[in-house]
Amino acid sequence: MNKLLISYSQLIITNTDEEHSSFQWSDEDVKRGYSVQRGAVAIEAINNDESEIEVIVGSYLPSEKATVTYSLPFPVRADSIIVTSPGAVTLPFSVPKGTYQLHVEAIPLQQPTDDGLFPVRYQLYFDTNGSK
Amino acid sequence: MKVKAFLLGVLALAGVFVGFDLQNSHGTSFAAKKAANYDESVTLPMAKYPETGKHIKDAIAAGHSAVCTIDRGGAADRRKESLKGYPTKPGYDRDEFPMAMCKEGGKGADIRYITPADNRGAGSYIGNHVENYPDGTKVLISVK
Repeated sequence: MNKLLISYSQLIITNTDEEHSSFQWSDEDVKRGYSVQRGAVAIEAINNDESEIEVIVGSYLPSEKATVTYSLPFPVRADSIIVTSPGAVTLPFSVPKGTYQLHVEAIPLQQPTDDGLFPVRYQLYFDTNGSK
Repeated sequence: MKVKAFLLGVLALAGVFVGFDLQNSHGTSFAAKKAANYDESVTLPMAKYPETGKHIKDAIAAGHSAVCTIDRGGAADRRKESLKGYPTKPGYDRDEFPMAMCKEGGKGADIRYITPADNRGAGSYIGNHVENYPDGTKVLISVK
């Protein structure tokens, strides 16, 4: 499983061919839980600890264990994406070129704690059906 | 022994001149970086991120290192140390300085509660700048 340390409460998903700039989080972005720029999105995380990142291409099956889910359109332009967080490593994943509905689910792997330091699995569904 | 001492003296003198030449041929920023012991620098714009900017300024003024040695492998452990005793607070993010990705971070890092839009934007700004720097890179963090 790919591991990523979440920092600044955000998970960044970007096209590999995109030189993304930094995300400007507006108050509206904070309310809705994500900030978008061309070919990239920053999603609000529920923790600031080491987390598992899973990328799934196919039909979206909502998990009952997910405490938060975000859904938004996401185009993949170069058969791959990168998942990262500020200051962390970058994790590349193969995703066929296409237009998707991206569903990001956060599933706590332990009972959430007051300090936000608990492991979470983030499941990123690239759903072709949702884009129609 | 006298010959050895003489040779060492000549080498030392040569080093001074080589250093002088490098400074002239590469400009003052190279010399300044070398003298201050950092490889790269990131300047956070205070106008865009006033709360996080002030936190960084205050933390540096209080004696925390302005130079961040990137060490991603140890960041998770340092995060646990730095945020110990600082619970999450609705409507705020916790900013830590030095950051957990820095060897200088961890236990004793300065923690401040900051509005999310400011802190996340600032984090993204710094993260974007250091994304391609390998572990071991010394980055001078400043605010302007």
